[in-house]
Amino acid sequence: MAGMTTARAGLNRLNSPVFRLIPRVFFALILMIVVLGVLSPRSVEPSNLLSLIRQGATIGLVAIGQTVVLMSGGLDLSVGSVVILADVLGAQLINGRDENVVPVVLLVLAIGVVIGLVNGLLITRFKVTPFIATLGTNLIVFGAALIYSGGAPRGSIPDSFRFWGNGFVAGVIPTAALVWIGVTLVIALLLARTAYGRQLTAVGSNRRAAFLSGVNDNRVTLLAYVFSALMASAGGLLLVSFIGVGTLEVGTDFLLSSIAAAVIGGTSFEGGRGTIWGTFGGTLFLMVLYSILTVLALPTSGRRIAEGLIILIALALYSRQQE
Amino acid sequence: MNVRKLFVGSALVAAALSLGAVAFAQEDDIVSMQSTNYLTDTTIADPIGEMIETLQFQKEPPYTIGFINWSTANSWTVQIVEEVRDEATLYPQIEEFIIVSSEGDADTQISQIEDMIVRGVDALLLIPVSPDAIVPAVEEAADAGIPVVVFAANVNTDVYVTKLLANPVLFGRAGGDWLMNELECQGSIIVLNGVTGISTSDLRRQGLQDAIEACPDGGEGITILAEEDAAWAYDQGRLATERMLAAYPEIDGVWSQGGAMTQGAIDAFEAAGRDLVPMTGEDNNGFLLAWQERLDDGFRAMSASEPTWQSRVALQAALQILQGIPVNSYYELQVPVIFEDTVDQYVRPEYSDAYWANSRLSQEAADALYLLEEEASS
Repeated sequence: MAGMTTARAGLNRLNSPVFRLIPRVFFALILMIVVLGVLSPRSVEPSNLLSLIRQGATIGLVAIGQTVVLMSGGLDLSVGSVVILADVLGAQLINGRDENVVPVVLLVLAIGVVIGLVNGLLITRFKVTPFIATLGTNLIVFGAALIYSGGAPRGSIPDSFRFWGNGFVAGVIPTAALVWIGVTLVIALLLARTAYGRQLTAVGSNRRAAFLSGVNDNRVTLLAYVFSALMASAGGLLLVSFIGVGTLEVGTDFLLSSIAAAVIGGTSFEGGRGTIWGTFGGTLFLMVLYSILTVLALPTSGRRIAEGLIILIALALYSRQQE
Repeated sequence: MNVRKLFVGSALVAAALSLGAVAFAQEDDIVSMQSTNYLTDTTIADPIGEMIETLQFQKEPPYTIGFINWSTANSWTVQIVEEVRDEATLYPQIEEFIIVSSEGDADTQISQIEDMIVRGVDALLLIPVSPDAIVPAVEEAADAGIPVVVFAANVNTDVYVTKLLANPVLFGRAGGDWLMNELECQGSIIVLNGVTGISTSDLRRQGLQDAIEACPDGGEGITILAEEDAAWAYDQGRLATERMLAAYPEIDGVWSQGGAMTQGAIDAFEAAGRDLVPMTGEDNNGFLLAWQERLDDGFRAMSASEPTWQSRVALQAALQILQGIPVNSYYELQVPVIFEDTVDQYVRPEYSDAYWANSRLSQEAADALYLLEEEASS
């Protein structure tokens, strides 16, 4: 009996929101990898696949935070600016010195927490809609990065810190890939094992019902925005350790990519549903898609149309499976 | 007969007088006397419009000059401002030099132009944020008798007195010609663009196309394996190159239309353990440093630039106009290039990557913007 209960509990866990959707997203991902392999066998060699995971790491971190906010029924438009602020602050304050790395990393993460608190308080206390609140902080944070850097960022990253974004463990496994997988694992477990994870989906699917059943919905929402800004700061730090210098000219669109990764991974735009592993798969899906588009060598216009179509098809298939 | 003589005579006198006035003005030209007059150097600014008489704008100093910059969101525009600020200090005749930035917003720029009219500036330097939205405001300034000098970006009206624009096709062509020469018009290349649909990106890319088609075989020997938009940024330049390297075992050259993207390409080649191939870049210090470090290993590269000191040329044009000296209606700015033999003269290891090396900034001004604090060597 006891054994059966454990087995059932185990099954229930597999059936919990965190794990339920993995196969679907990863099925699409495997299909995409097969397509890439057919088009370009070289691109799916192990070293190139590992490189694909590294390419997704910064977006992946930001997307984890975005996923949690989306699950709570919100939206964080400020992630792109938080990434840039973290990148500029990190480079300028570390300034090539090993001994600055730890204090600066902690400071930049703390600044992320403060930005997240501002977002969260605007939304919970002052009842500003998430769209407007995070749009506003997005502008302010980018303005702060501009003022701080004077438009011409300085500073550099010592090798000890570049290792995280640019280095390899055991000579072959990109450190950034391990960081991303590690963070994904920890956050997925935390959401699965803590009351917060359940409260998040409860608030996201029906805020009033959650409130009536005793969930402090404001606290849940506030924490979601704090976590998102924290992850965006971490993404910015990983980005600057990848680039090696501070820059205002970041080519990656972290806002759109983080939302796309989350939604392809099964997170609902309306809230209440989502998984961290799904977002991991969604981010990798985007990376493989970009490689396929590179290999196809389409003109840019065709590339954009193909990118949009494939994302839409993935979403359409996904929402059909949901019904 | 007498009347006719008188007419011809007075016309001759008038012509002589006005010629004399021009000659006199040019001799006394404060730009030539107090700085280096770039407008008379066709290797810097090629006059391709028509000569414009400016006597109507002639005015005794002191001058109040306004400059409306388009944005300060990157180091290139920051350096544009510092260059012109530096140039303005050379002229005691400028009593007041007002600099504002529109931060990419057309509405802001329109109200800034109106503000300059109200303040009664003697001349206005303008980097338009939009070719169309600000046209009525520019026309308003012209109606108020303010000579407008447009540079760095175009505006769809001709009420300005002169404009100075770099031709992005020439920028792309400079890199393209060099790369075709390196490869002897044979081989497979990859292409890193800025943002397709933005004219600078498309026109620079056109320059590459022209260079390829100028090959003796009409470009038959060149294959473009892959081509991506990388937003002129390191991160996307590197990621795009990584994807291309994974797919193509043989790449003979990289044509990139931005220095940070080329830096990303260099790092991608090295991370993949591939030998470096000839690459084109831009004059940002980060790329030049990366290039110089690898010179001894035989890495071949070049840099083209859209100079930040074009703002100095724009100020000089305004000063010519205020002195009544004729100017051309359209100066095409030429593309300075850096090759292997000159890279040492431009690269500045003590400055940050964001410094634009084709600079005419004073030492103090450049130090203030870019000098790195001494970094720990241990």
